Amino acid sequence: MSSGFYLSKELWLGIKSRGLKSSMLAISVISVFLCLLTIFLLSWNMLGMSKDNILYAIFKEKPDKNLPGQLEDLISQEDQVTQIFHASCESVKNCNIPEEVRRALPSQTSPFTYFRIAVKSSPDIPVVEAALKSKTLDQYLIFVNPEKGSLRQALAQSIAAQNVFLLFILIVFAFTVVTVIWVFRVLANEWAPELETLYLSGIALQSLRLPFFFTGILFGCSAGLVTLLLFFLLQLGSFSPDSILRQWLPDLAQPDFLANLFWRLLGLGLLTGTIIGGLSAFGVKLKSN
Amino acid sequence: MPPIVIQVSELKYTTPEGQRVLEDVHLRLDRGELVCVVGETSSGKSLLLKLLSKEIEPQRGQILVDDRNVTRIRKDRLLELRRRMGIVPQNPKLMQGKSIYEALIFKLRVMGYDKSETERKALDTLEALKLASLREMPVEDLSPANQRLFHVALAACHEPGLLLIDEPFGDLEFKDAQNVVAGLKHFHELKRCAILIVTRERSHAQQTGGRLVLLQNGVIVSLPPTSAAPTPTTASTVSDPKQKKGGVR
Repeated sequence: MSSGFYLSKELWLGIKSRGLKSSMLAISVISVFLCLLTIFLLSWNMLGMSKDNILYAIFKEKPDKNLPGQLEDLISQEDQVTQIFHASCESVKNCNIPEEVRRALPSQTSPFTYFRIAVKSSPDIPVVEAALKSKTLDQYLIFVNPEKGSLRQALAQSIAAQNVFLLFILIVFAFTVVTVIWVFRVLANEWAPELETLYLSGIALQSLRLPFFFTGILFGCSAGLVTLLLFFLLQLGSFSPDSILRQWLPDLAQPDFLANLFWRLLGLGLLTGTIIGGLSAFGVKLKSN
Repeated sequence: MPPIVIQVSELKYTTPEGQRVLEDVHLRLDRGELVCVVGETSSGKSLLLKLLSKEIEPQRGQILVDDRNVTRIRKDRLLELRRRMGIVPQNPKLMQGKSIYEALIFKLRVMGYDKSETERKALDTLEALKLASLREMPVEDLSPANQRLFHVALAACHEPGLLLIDEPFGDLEFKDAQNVVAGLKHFHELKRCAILIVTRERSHAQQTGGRLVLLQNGVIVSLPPTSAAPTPTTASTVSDPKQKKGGVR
């Protein structure tokens, strides 16, 4: 194992002196990054992996004592609803609600009462909203969907958009596979003299494959960090409530979004890199002339 | 340690296309001995080395290296055996971006030797091959002759008991080939490890001072020793030698 680490270090240190283009390595990291990004978008948007999928329902007027309980019973009958939180706020300013909800409030409503309705997934939000409206709950409540206009809800509502998105993901995935195969072939070619010498000296093939494995992991982790950087920049650009970015990806507004993302992306990068490196290493076959 | 390093008996190899390359090869190499197998192009010389290092499997015959039956050796034992060999392929790929000393250090460190042992072995090998003065020179800047000697150094730096060298003199100018001969002779005199060289350059092979055998028509034929030094005009490749068919010894 230590031989494998030493070999990996030496081969990597020797890359620059071979004139191996750093742009080529950058391309490979970017391609894996694109792959991660699309996997992320796929899971986040199409599979609705958002941390909170919330529909807000605000009372138009101050309700009677029993009305919130009755409406809560009606709302909880919907299959997609997982949790209902009922609260009142003395003033809009001191209330812990998203900016989108705050802006939807009628100007004179203060104090006000609202339901925070958690649903299973983001695409369920408009479904639940429509179902509650059909029960004529909208005569008491104003429904506010903070994710209205978001990418994931747009995708959830259009088969064509889903297909385009899937096609995009397939293209990016194919691009990643081709690029990574190409990069690993160049690497195998660059390292061929060393690997051939060691192979003929009785070094086990597993040790000779380790540098490829580590390279894959390095690509994956680098790509994870690049993706994280991208989301950091996106978050910087989405501070304004009017930001289109925030409308498309409402998760950006969550304060712990990057912290949650860090481990997910690093893990995803590590996993992707390990698979890429493992497959590439397995593909390494050595023989002398 | 057994006195015989290589013992090949009744070795036969036919290509997948059906061409019989080795018919009935018998070969013996003793510890510390230098043997040159000369033969024409495509006579099976390189194939013989690949069979000895088990890069290729023979159809029939027995190959004993250090008393181990190479044809039946297990994978883990093969790695161990290869560590006791030094193999120089015919056209080894050239390591770039390293000095010859660094290249040797690299290989020895990957093989697991500690720093001081690595340095000692590398310097010893370079001295033995008359490359010590060039130790800091990048591999790609070496002369053709020194590149050949560098590849021998790379194969021999872990001090194996057996060195297999494929065509060390091929495609070299006469002077360069003579330098390679001198380097190999010096190495053999100092290290006394068993060396098997395969080449088509008979005249240079004679200069090494080793025992000469001819690989022709799929069999090994011993050649009479000769002391005549080749000159640029007399240096020759293999052609119709006086034959004494049979085993080497």
